[in-house]
Amino acid sequence: MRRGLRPLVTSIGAHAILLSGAFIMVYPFLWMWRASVQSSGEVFGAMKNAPSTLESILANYGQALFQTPVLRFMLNGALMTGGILLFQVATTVTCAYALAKLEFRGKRVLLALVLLAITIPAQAPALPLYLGLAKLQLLDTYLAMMVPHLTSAFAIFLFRQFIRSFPEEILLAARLDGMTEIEIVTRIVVPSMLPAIAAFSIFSVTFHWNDLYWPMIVIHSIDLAPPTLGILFFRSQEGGDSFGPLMACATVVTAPLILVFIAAQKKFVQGVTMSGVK
Amino acid sequence: MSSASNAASLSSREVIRRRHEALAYRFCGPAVLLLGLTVIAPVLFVLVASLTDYRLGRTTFQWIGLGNYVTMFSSPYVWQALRNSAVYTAIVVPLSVFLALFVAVLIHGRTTSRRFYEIVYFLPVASTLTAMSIVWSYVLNGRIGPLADLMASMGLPRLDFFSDDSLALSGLAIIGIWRLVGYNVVLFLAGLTTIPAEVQDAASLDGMDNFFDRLRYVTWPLLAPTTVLVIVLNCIQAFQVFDTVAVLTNGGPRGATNMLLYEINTQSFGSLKIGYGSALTVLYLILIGGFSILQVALSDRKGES
Repeated sequence: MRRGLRPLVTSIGAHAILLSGAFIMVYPFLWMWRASVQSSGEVFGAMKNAPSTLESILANYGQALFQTPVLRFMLNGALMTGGILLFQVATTVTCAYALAKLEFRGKRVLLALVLLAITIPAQAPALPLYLGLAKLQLLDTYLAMMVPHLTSAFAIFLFRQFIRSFPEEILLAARLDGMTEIEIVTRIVVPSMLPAIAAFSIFSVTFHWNDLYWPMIVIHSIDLAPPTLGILFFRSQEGGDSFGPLMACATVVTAPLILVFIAAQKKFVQGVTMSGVK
Repeated sequence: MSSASNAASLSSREVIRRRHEALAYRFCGPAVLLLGLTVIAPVLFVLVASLTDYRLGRTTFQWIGLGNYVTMFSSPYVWQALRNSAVYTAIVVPLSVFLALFVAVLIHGRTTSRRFYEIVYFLPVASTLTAMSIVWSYVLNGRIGPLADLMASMGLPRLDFFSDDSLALSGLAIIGIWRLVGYNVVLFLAGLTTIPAEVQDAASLDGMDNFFDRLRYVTWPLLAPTTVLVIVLNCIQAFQVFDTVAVLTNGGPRGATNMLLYEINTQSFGSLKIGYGSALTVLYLILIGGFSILQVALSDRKGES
């Protein structure tokens, strides 16, 4: 038996500390939500005859969703992250399989290249890529948004680690059965590595949905802006007058990832912190 | 001297090997081509261009050796950006690490509420920083922000973080810490699960009932590998800070929050001095690359033990 009251006291103390920390963590979200369901005047102090919450919600979210291009931003974000992810998975799975299970000249060089590419931060190739896209007159297009991320050295490395532990006997049996290597990859290897692909997908989608750096460089038209850039356009255009709608817009932009996180907490945490843990 | 059957099997193995090799090249082709075009070639370009005076729009350029690097290291803006990045890192990293370690140890002791705390502390990591930065710009605002209200009610001055050049960097650091703590908590919790429960129990039986003693003498030393990795990761993230600067301060007031990546961005894409921007990018590559190599080395060592 534990001694008397002590564990109880430590437990209450721990909860008190954790809850105060938790309050600070969620405070900006609460503030954002509250500001998005109030009229602009109400947020910054008392207001006589304030409209009801429902009216404010309708006004703010109505304006954000139907009088600003926020839905367009979301669509752009979905197309961009989806396109990037599709390309990344399509180009890396076969490469990872070759690196894990096939013998070929230049394999070690390729692996070294992949490891080198992982250490290069995403912003480093920005300037030459910008110049190249400008030369090809491709600036301000969906393609420009996706170009730097069409493949991922990190995915190659991650998938290779995963495929390496795949039992050799199964591959051998499949080959004896007359399956071609590409069939082996698509019908046997890929289904078995769905958890790794899911974790990487969360990593990739989160990173690119939240990325501001690259879209800011290549995108100038509001019609093509992903959510991060779009909300900045919205802020600079509307100014302080439509504070409620701005916060509604911020809520809408933040919501998808938060919802995915809450729905698939374990996978999400694993995906986002994976580049650190490896 | 080999028998006929041996020779046959050798050659058939050779055929398979060749077929595999041809296949491997096709399997790797797209990824290699794209990596080459979007990562390797641009980095080589930056290395070469940093030795020229090329500007966008000009048709000619000259080799100027290390001229851009000389300009860079004599530029007050670059030094200011490096200093700001260093100060920002020096505030954000230790605080994020200590707070996260503390929180992780507390969460680790919980059973029923563990999941709840994990979710709440991770929320900032799952959020879109650009949108949340706009929210923070109001939360930390001196006239209308709730923090200023709170301080005023306690008789303290109303701090206006982003209009005061002595406070702006701290304002960004607050957001940086808010964002990093949850990330670190997850890494520390993962580290904590590798510490056998008996070790912790033994420590409490040995009379080390005091929470802080146990943290300092038992838990933290066992978490040392995790801690080092977390510090390296946080340094990389702190040196890469950009979103909050671009959303909240644009490097101001008076350059007080001009940090490395923001300076590179303005110099490269604002004035389109390609040569100079490339030199700055090389500096950035060396700094982040150094941290990354440290990280890979550390996680390899962790994997072996």
